Amino acid sequence: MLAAVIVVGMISFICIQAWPSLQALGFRLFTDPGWAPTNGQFNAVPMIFGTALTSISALVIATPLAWTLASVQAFYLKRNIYMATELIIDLLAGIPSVVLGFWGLSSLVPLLYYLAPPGASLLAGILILTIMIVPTMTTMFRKLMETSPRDQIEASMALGLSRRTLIWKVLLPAQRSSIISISLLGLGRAFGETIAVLMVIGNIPQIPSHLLAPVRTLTSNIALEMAYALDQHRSVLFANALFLILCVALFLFAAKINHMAERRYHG
Amino acid sequence: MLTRILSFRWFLWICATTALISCTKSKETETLTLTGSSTVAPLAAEIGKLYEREHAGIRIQVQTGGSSRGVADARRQASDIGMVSRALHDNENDLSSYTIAYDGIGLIVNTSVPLEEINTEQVLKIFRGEWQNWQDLGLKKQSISVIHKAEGRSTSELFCEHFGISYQDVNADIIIGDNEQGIKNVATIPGAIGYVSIGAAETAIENGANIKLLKLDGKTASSESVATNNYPIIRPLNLVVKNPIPPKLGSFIEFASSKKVHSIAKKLDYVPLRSF
Repeated sequence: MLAAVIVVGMISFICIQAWPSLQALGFRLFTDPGWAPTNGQFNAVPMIFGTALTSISALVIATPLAWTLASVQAFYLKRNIYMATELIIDLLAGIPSVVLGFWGLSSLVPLLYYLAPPGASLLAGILILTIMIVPTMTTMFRKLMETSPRDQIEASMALGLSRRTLIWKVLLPAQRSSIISISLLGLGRAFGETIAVLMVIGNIPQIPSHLLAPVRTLTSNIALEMAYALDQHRSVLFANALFLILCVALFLFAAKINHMAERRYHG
Repeated sequence: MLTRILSFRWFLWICATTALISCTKSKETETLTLTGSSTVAPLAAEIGKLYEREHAGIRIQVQTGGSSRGVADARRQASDIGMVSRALHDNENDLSSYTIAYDGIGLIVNTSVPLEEINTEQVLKIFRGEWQNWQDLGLKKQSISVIHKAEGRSTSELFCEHFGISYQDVNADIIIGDNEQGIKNVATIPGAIGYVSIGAAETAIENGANIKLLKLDGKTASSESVATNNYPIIRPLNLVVKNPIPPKLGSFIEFASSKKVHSIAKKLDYVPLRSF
């Protein structure tokens, strides 16, 4: 109840703050020649691209990786090794994003610099986000594996199926809908991540031409400029925040619908 | 069960006493709020501490948010004093400014770049993107990464103004926020060049950061050369107040521009007023 009040209050605050710019600029927020706040140009499209490209690519890498890790954990590892990997993955999930970002800036970016300068790039952002979402997704997938219906597992054992067949041919199709739900939650997390991404992506407001070009995301744009933004500029940043919230809400909604459809299917 | 009730009761007690204490305190103390430039903030905070020690019953609060925020807050009187790391513009004459120290803007490169000195022409060629490799300066082959400050910050504004270019002319590879972030980026990216507050760069170099300050047009970038007015990009660090100045602020401003704060400015690698 309290949570609902806080969420509604927060969203309405953001709407109120964003309203003047939405009213004054309207579609100029997508059609201006570029992002140049001091010249009154506020095109958010490069940032929307940046956010979408980094988080969706991270998700595309993270989902199969996390799922594979989880199935190995649940079906192949001995008890003590299982415990060790569980600990490591939980630890990885608990690393504060600013620490991860600093690691990215001081190790990953110089490494990528030798590949193609300046190193701070879309790719660096994708890798950092992947590292961030894999642990939580692995934990969720593992829970999923461990709670998979007993009868399916027993039936496959009775049929003499190998573990590999069990995982790939029985569990994977049955988990389809849950996998989508978990990926959407991961995507929500990747969308909102700010500081780690800000530190490694270079923050140039442009639509990237290749994987090693610097980009700017909606979150890093807000974090970088909100501290000193005034009047219309400030209001535009709130509008950017609104886009972000709408996207995340959309994902959560999709995850919910997907979840409900699955429930209905299983009766 | 008993422990739970007890702890809850304790919790209430603590809440009540805290509320009481904060009430009584706020009656006795007067608070001065300073907002604005992140370059001035550390200096203002230290001056504030010293001032609090000498004047019982006054608390100084310092919040950062950039120079333009400092100007806007002082105008709207959202804060008592604004901190601005540049001279006031012509259209800002409804405010009075009081300089408390000076600072320079220095060009820094990663230590892997074998360069000690740079001139205006070279800076322009690099920042406009005409030269993208250190080879163009006759050095070993290494890509140049230009690190630029976010638009609207007073450091980038002064930098562009000094070199006579507009913000959009700069062909930046990476855009950063405050001085610290700029230093971190230049220190970790091998061919990087950027510009930051000389005070911040000197402190970072003392702490072993992987950067070096370049001589600009033959002038050494150091707080000494700023102090002797022998460096091209110098900026005043100002406190600004809306006219007419409320009497309660007079004493603090006088204190902040007095000799007592020189040692603080020096300690933070800024250049105290006396030098000018």
